[in-house]
Amino acid sequence: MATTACFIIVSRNDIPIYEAEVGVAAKREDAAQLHQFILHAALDIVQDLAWTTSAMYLKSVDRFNELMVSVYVTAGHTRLMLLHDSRNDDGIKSFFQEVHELYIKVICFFFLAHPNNMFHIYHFITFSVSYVAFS
Amino acid sequence: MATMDPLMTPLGQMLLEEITPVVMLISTPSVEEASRKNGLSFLQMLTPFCSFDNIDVPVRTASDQPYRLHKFKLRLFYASDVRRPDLKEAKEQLKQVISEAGEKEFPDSNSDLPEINLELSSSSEYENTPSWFRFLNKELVRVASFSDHEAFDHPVICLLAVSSKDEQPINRFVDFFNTNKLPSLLNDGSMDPKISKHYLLVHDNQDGPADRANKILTEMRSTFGSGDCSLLCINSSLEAPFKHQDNPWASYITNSSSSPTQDVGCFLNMDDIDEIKVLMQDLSSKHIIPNMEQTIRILNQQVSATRKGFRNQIKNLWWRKGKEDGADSLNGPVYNFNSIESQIRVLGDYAFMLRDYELALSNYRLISTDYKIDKAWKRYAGVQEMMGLTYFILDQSRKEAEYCMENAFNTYLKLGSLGQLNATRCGLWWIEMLKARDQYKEAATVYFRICGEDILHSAVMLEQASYCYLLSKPSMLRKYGFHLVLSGEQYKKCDQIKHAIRTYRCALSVFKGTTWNYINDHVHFHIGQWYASLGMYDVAVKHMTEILCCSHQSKTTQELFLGDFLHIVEKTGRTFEVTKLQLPVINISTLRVIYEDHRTFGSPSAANIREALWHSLEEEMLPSFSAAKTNWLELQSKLILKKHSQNVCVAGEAVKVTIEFKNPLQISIPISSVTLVCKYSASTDEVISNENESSMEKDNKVDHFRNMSSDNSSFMVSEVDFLLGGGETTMIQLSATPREEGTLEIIGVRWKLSGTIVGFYNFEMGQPKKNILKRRKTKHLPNEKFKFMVIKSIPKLQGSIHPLPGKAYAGDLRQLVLELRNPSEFPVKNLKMKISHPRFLIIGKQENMMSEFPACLRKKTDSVQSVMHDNPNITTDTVFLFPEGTSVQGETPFLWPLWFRAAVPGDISLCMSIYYEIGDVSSIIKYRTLRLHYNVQVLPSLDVSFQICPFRSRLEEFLVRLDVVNKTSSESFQVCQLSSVGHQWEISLVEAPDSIFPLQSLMAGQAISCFFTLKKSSRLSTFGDDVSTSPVKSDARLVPESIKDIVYDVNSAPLVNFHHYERLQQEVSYKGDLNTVDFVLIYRPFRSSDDPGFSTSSSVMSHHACHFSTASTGPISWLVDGPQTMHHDFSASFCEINMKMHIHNSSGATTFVRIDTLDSAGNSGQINNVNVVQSATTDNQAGWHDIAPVNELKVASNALETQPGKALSLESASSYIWSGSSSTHLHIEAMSSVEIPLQICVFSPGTYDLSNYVLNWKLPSNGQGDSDEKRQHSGQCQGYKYYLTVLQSI
Repeated sequence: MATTACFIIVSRNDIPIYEAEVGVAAKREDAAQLHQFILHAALDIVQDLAWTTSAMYLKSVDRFNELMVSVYVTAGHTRLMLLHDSRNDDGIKSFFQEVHELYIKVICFFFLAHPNNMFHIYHFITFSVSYVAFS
Repeated sequence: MATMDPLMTPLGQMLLEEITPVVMLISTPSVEEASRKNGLSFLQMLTPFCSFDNIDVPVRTASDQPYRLHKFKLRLFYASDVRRPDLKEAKEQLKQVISEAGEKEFPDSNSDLPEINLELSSSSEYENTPSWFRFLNKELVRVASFSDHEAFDHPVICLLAVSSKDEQPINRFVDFFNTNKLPSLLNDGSMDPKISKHYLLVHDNQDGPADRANKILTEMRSTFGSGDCSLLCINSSLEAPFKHQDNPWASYITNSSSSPTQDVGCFLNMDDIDEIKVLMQDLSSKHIIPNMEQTIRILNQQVSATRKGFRNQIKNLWWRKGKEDGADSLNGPVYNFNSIESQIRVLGDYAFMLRDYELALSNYRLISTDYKIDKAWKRYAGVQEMMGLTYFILDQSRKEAEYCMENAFNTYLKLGSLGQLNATRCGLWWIEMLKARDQYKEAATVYFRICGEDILHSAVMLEQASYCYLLSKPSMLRKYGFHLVLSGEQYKKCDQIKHAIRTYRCALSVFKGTTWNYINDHVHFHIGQWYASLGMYDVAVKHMTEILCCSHQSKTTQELFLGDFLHIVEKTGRTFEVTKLQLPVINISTLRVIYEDHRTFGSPSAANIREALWHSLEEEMLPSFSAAKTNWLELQSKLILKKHSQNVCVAGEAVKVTIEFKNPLQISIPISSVTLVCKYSASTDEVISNENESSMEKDNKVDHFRNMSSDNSSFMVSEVDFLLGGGETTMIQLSATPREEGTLEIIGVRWKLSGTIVGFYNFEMGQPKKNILKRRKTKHLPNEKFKFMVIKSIPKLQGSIHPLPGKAYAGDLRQLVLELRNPSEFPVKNLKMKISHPRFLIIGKQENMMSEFPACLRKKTDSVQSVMHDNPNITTDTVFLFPEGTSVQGETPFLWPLWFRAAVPGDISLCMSIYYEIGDVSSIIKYRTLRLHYNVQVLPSLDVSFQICPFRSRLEEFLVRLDVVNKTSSESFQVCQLSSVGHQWEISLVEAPDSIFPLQSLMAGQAISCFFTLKKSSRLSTFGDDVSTSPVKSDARLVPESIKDIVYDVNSAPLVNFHHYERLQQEVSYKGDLNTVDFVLIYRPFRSSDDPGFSTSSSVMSHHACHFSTASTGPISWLVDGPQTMHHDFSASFCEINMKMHIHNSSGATTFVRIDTLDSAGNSGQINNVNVVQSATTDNQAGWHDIAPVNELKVASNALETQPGKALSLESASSYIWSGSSSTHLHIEAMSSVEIPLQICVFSPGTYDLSNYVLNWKLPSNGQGDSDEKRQHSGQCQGYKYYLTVLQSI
């Protein structure tokens, strides 16, 4: 059971397009910004690492104290990042894959429906994250 | 970089400085006194001359390979300092250094954010990082010195200094070596107390000539041996203080701020300095280096004897294994200076200092395993550390070097507080090693790991880590930012606010422009808070304003942010003015400027209607410009200038701006004094005003916002206060009313948040695209859409319609009054009006004003005449012209009647525009339009449907079924009358009204059906010719006769007009059908509703249903006329029956009809026919359709059964034959009837279905056939059922 986890989707131009605190741990007041700081800093590592492998799932790329950052880079260089404090590589990998699938669906759908409106993606992914129970 | 000599790297230089032989200095007070005259201690006096760039001494260590030492350095320490440095003191000192650096490096609050210059950062690390880092790192290394586990801090020689002034100098020299005065490290056995000594006699030339000194020196030489004694004469400069060109001490005493550096060494002349130089050089080259060489050789021999060789190794291993059980302390066993382990370490360190790195490494390796086996972890770590450094300098195996450093570092860390200082030092060396190899990223992680319990040190280390990320390639800016923030937090924890601000500001340059909102909020909030704590409120506010729009934060955080912000603003003690206040959010896309030039608006809602809609409505009314075209060149330019270049508004009339304010927070915020910021200039000439202002505009833009309140005599602005609740959005209307002619420009909006902070918003800056009413203009200079030319006051009409209901039930018919007022003194004339929805609102006549409303609809016996004259009126669907000479002026309102009918349910937006011309022609504006807009909500009332079915028994007569459902939830209606429009039809009720409506009303949700007979009026052909004959009964009353009530005249003024529009609306594609009928159902609310939204005055409602076609199967209708029952004596002959068929052509053209009679032979009875008939009338399936008269049949068959032997059933239908012609062709003229004889022969008694015929009809396809393709040109009709019973006559 994950105690702390923060999931974020970062677009190719480094803008966070979706954020969710998915952990069950009691929230600390400064958790949100700390998580953002860690994930934001981890982008530096991803930037180097992404081009060294053909795999999309980069495993745990960075860590800060007890918190690890696992990253999945899509073909469009959108990065799915998960901050977590327990090791579960397989679980995280399948989580990423499912989110990626949903993400593609959402992108396609909204690309067709509203080429200029990425707003609704939030609602879709909120659904997806709650749906894919991360253990 | 890789080829660089390791010794030339920063780490190499550092090692050459730090890991050098230590000279222990012991001096008498008089020596110190003599040197103190120069502002220096004796140690300080000697120090500058302890490092030699090219000492050039030949060395031959154990390996017998001679080499020369060039760079060499000695470290001098007073005997009292040969001990572990005092940690507390060192910390205090570090803290002070950091604080000073904080003051010095504190950025100017007004300066911009530091730019990250990647070009620069790539050039050199040391240019970019603050210089005090190096000092700090050095201090941290120094703090870890004189540890008992390593030997390079062991003094190699002891320098004893006695002054020639001292009494009995020889005794003083001996006294020095009383053991109780020596440092504890020497006494407790961790260092060899038998250090070689050098005796120095110091003579102060100010005390007189050196005779006595020379005497003492000879005495010393005889006592201690000639080689180990020397004399130093100082303070030779007797007269004026000696000025040194290049003060050698300057760089060494900067941190002791006791005396100014110029005076340092003032009594030492060049001879003295030379003497000191020679002394130190001799000491190094003649004593220290040979001594160390000697020691190395001796130790090496010892080590070789005891440890080298296979036998020794086995022995050592065996011996250590045995020892394992005994020593169990954390630090491993205690090693004396004379233990072989200590000696190996000394050997290694000496070799290292003399730069015989190979020898050093082999010894370190040897001892490393020993310590490991002994579990002497600190010593082990120390050796590993040295191994790492040796590997680095040898530039052999990078991997090994790093492994050793990491191993050492981890081992130190494992020791906890004991090893912390060493871990720090080891880490710093490791970092330098990584930096030397450009592994900045790894270096940064080491910095991160160094962070121990000491918060201040962690802060510095984290900051250094951040610089490493910046320097790494490619630079990792985000890591840089993150570590700066981490460092800033640590600085804050130990009250180094200035450092904290500095680091955060640096971090800000990374995070600026990103959308990582929590990060931005955190950084700005803390910088703001810290600046505020320093009392720099202006900068604090600047940062705090950045975080106000924090909708993503939790409510408590929002409260915290806003509370802190207001608190800081309060502390500034004035109303703060911020140009980019984010709270509340102004939705610039909702910005609308409403102004009235020739267009005026009766209500705010009218201004919200799209301009295109108004334009299309007014198109016909407005005077056309193209007609006045004289010269196209001239006109074009004039038009553009006049109409398109500038917005025009009228003095005294407000220019309104609506804009949306949104509160992104969850807490409510008070907003006050919301006003428009305007600029007024008296000149109307655009060009001149532009020239005047353009120069100063840019500078004074903000000033305009500031001093707007000072000069507002020429215009007035409205002020709005409101409270925006959490998450609320409010549309605010602001207005500026110019009072004089000139130019008015709306610049922006200003407001006060919480009464203290004034925010501005400049419309032009935020306007993405123009969103203004004047859509015709395609291009606008940005500053022109908020710029208005103010012209002098002209009349403006005010209008309203009352009492227009907000809500009405469908069908509601009301009389309304249009009221127009003109408050100005000038009259307006040539009024015209147009209404967008004539189906809902029509213009009445002046005389309607007088008449009482429901009563005027009463049917009068002589009304027919007037109706006929009304009809031409209703077809004009264009502009309504008010009567000639109508002029509106002064107090008395101008009234005009209107009729309103809620035609269909839904939200109806009614627009009407009134055009008028201004009597005074001197103005630019010649005419104006008043635009009125009303919204009416129409609720469904009755759902009415009609079904028309021809009578089979009579031509030109129809049965009408009326279905009425009350769709309301609570209202009851009384259905009054059903009328057919026009004079072609007569309508009458089939049953009495009492039986239909026992309660006289239709309750909510109730549905009823009733039947009417519809009959074509006999005088249809004389339509319009002579109408004054007997009145046609085209109305059927649905209320009992007993109730005294009026009969409504559907052909009178408003009803017939509305009916006209309904007809247009309900127009079907199939035109030209002359046999349609229009119904008007009149009803009224039965009792007044409780709902206050509905006006109770209304008492008439009407429903119009148009274009009901009476001909359902085609243009023809027919009727078979003949006997139903016959008696015939079949024994005599067969029976011949004559019948007639009436065919009526109801179309407008001559129809060709063919009647085909089919014999029943080969036709399997009636069943098929029934099917055909049914399928032919599928349209009526849902309603009602032909049903075979079963009862009749049964009666007939019963009658048949009574006759024995003559059983007959329908299935075994006896046949009959059409005895007339089998096919008849005929032409029927339009709207006429024809009669055709038919004859059948029957051979036996029975019941016969005479539907075995088919009517084929065909219309001529020429002419109108092209216009409507869908119309049917031909068709086939199956015969109706017609049962004939023939009985045997008795």
